[in-house]
Amino acid sequence: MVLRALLLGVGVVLSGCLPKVAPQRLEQPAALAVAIVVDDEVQVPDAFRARLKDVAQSRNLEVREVPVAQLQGQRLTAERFAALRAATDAPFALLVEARTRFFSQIEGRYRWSVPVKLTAARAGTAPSQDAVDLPALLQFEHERGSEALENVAEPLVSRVAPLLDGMLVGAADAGLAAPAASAGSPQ
Amino acid sequence: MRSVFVLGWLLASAALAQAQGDRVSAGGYFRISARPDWQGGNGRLGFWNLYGRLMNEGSYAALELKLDLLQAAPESNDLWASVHARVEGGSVGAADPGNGSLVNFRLSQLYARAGNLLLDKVTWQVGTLVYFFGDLGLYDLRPATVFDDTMGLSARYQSKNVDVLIGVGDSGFFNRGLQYSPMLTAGGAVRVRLGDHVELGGGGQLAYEASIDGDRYTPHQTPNVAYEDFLRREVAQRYVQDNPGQELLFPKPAAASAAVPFRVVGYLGFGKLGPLRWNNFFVRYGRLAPEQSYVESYQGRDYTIYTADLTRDRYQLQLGNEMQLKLVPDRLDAVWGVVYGRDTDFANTLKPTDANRTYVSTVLRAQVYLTRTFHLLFEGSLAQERSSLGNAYRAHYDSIFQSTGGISDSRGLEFGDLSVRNTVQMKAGVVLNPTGFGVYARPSLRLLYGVQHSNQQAAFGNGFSDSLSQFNQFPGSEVHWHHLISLEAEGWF
Repeated sequence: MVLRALLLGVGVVLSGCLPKVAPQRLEQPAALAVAIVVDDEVQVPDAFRARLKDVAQSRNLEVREVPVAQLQGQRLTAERFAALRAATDAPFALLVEARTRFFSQIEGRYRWSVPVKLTAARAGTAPSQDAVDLPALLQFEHERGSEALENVAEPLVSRVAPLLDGMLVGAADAGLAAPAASAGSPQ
Repeated sequence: MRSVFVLGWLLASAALAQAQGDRVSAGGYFRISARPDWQGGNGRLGFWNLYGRLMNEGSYAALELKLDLLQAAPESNDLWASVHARVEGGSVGAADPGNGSLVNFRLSQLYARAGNLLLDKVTWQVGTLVYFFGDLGLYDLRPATVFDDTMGLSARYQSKNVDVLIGVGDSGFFNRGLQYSPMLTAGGAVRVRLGDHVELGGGGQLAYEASIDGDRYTPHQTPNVAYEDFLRREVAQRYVQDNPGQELLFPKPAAASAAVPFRVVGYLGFGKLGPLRWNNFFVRYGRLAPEQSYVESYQGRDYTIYTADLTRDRYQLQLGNEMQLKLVPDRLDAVWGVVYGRDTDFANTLKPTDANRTYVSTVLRAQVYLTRTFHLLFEGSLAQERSSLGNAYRAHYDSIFQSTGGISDSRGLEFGDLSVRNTVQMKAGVVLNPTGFGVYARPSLRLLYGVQHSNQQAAFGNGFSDSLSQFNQFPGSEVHWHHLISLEAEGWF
């Protein structure tokens, strides 16, 4: 009886480590130029950058962050993205634009809204976009925009991943390294 | 060719805008659980969240909608405005006796906000005004809250280091409902940030409810009411016995002095120091609004007894502290909470009630991260509730109900044979947190086992006997341990 319970427990534990379906992955590493633009003077937290880096690395993409200053003060997405591509020779580019706005106090939490717009393209193709309004649930009043960004890093990654995968499909046709199936680490 | 042009135009349009949120957005909260209780309980481990909110609260859902009327451009000080509406309530289909009926829900908040209007860094709010300094997450308590009962206007100035909130409005409908009486309410709150590690705050609110000539819902008092008669609901009986044949001359209510309920709150927060993520300390002290009236029936006639003076001296003190610790990064976090409270009704020196008691509790929760998303949870709590006016709890299934000094007395104002209730709870289980590490990371899917021991008989919501007549039909048996399994989910969105 005890053994059965133990086995059941181990099974439950292992279920948290189920192998993930492999993401698209390049055979050879390639550079991904990334620019993160957050309006309203919010510092981008390291944890937010780290999660973006994780999801790129799992696809054999090496993140090269382009400082916002190199976007030449552009305010429109199309022009920011053009500036990003002009600032680097990386074959892949990803522009992350976000805002952080306080929503309300809900059941003991400070809820913020983080609208995020993702624009990505590989060299020689038109950019693809995704936009999402993510909720950030913070515990303390002193936590503001930067913490809100960190709070949404995980759900944001789930939006970035399919965008990157979409870019990688057909990369071989574009003369870039071909995607390959791999065991793939979790996102 | 034309369709290609249109498609290109659409794509270009989509690429023009920056990251702007939708005009309409929604946020909210939910908790749901399945807790079959084979000990006759109602699915909660103990009576209330003094023993920790975990397994002591029922289902709940809240949905808040926000409409941006005007959106300010990024990095601008343009005028902005929004409207918020929140619906919330404590019932979910198949999870509680309410079965999700909308009767259990209410439009608890509705307000409009506007910023950069007339004054820089000031947000104006018209409607419901609730504001709190923070949360005791282990208890689901927010002692330092102001304006949770007020409809009115507030202005909130926010800068990097100082926030100031002032508000004015009416709390009459919240406190009086259908028996509305205007309660002018004013107050405010100040929060000061001293660097990155310390915050201080304080605030309060004061209400004024005057007696209005001819308005039966404003403060009035029936004259010559003995407090014991009021407690026993025998005011009319006493009058008729003392004045036979003079029922029609039952004393008319007299205008009472104005009611002035108030609340003072304080807050101290500090943290970001080593393993200490943050510590919140809250205090709240206040006087409750007096009760209005009730109806007694005696010999086929109804008498309305007005009670403003009998119930105006009820005070509540509550202190709470919660400390969040990162003991082993990404492996072990802990949260420790303490709550102390004292409720006092200075007019009542006879009967033990929840208005005359002290309570103290401590809760410790530890969460072990086996993986990023799979966690183990352990929580323990110790609590003591002490009645200030004698016995209030029953120790055994066959304890007496009404009593005096623990001795059976059908006219006694005490209840049972205990004046102190001691409660111990332990909970443990597995947690799936899709969003990763954190004691308060949500959503959480939990499978928990909880056990409670109390010196009170059947110290949980139950269908056991609570009167002598019921006891004669269902005598029951001794129950001090309570075991419960809970499958539950909780999240904000």
